[in-house]
Amino acid sequence: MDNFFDVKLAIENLPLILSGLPMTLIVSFASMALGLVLGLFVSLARSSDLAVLRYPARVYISFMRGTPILVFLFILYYGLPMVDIKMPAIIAAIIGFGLNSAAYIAEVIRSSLNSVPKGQWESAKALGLNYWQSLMKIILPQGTRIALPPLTNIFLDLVKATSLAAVITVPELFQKAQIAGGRTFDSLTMYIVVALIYWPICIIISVFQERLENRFSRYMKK
Amino acid sequence: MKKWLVMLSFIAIVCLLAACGQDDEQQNASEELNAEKWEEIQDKGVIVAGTSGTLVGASTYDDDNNLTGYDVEIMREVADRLGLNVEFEIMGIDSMQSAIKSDRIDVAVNDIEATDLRKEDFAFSDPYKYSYSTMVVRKEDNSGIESLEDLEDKRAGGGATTIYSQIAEHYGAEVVTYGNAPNEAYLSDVNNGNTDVVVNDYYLSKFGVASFPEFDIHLHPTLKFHPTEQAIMMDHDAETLQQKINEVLAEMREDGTLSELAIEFYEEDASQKTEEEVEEIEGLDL
Repeated sequence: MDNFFDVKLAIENLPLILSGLPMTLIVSFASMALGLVLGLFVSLARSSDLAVLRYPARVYISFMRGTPILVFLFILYYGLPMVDIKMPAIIAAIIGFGLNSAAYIAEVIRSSLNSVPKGQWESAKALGLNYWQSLMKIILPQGTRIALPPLTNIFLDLVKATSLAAVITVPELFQKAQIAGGRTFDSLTMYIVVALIYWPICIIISVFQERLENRFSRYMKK
Repeated sequence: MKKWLVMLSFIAIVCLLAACGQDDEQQNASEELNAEKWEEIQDKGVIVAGTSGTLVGASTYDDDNNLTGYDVEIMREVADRLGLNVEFEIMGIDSMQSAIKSDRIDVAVNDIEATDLRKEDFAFSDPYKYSYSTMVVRKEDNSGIESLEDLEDKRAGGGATTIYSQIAEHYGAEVVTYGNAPNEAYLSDVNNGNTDVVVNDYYLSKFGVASFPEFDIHLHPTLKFHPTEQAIMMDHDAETLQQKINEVLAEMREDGTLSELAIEFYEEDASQKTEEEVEEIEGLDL
């Protein structure tokens, strides 16, 4: 059993691994915030009547969903300095994950907004609201309820994907686990420890999802 | 209002294309360097060193979670003697070459072997460590290997593109490749017979074998081959920097600092060439 999971080593190395937790959370939340804002705009562009908005948005979504995020991070951190664009590792990670998740978020938002009956747009227009007022006051609140579960999926994915930021020197959970594995010659134990740290984080996020869902569904209850 | 969206899409794509087409420009730019890199470092007062933090002996974290190791301490001492502060960036060995080319780090210290192939693209300091390769084999029968030629048709565990896999292949072994696998994967496979041998650096293998007393494996008692030299890696054109580093390394060799550090981290003087005979392998393009 000790070969599989060495409890003593795990406990000894827990403080080192946990020291990466704040960075993991910062990158996750900042990327998700960036992704949500950008994703909304990309989704609106994607469903726009104007080809000049629609096609760039399609290309953007296709590129971000079709290329490995690891490659994108590598380009941001190691590639851009060659054209004199140099940013700290954590900024590169947030931009990388933010731009990448924006593509997935855009598609979720688009389908959620589409699922709000057309009649809602027409009624809003009849009340004299313009496009932005209708969107922000009538359509988005209804779409949010539908978008919440898939958006949480994206967020949970993102939390775990931030482990890739270790490659560009961000001192987050996974990098600390690699370091602990390096010095103890027991990577298996350290990787299991790190998994057991991600899990409760994700449980907490899921709990919030449920609460938010209840809140946005309150007018649905009979 | 929404036009910036279009802009953003284009910028993203343009940036990517620009990053791809960088090679030529990079070469032109770096021709002017020479003393430039050294002056730049002096201006900052900081030398940035890439290291993995996961290599026992060379670059690792101690019980108080401080970065240490032979390579790390040498780099600290070098910086100190040059009147500079040192900052370490933790990255994998596969990122270090890109990081040097993009100026993310000034030097890399991670038990890096100064091979001829690498010397085409990078400059190296004088070696601060001498090592050689050896094999991890089963205790009872040395996995049936008594000479390098016996590697033929044996199963050798190794990383995909490492020199050790090339050596094993050179002698006709079947190389079993692992991804970025931890030590226990390589060593337990020798122990349970999935593979016969792991060819690797003497010092790393020594630590590896010692940390798994439950495995019935040991270092091959007689085979020593492929002598290697480890050095500080830096940009190809950082000539002044290379010269300055070499000066202080020579000082540190002279006054015994290197030997002292080597014995502290490797329990023997890894800063000197071994006196035992180490077989050179001909015909390898490393």
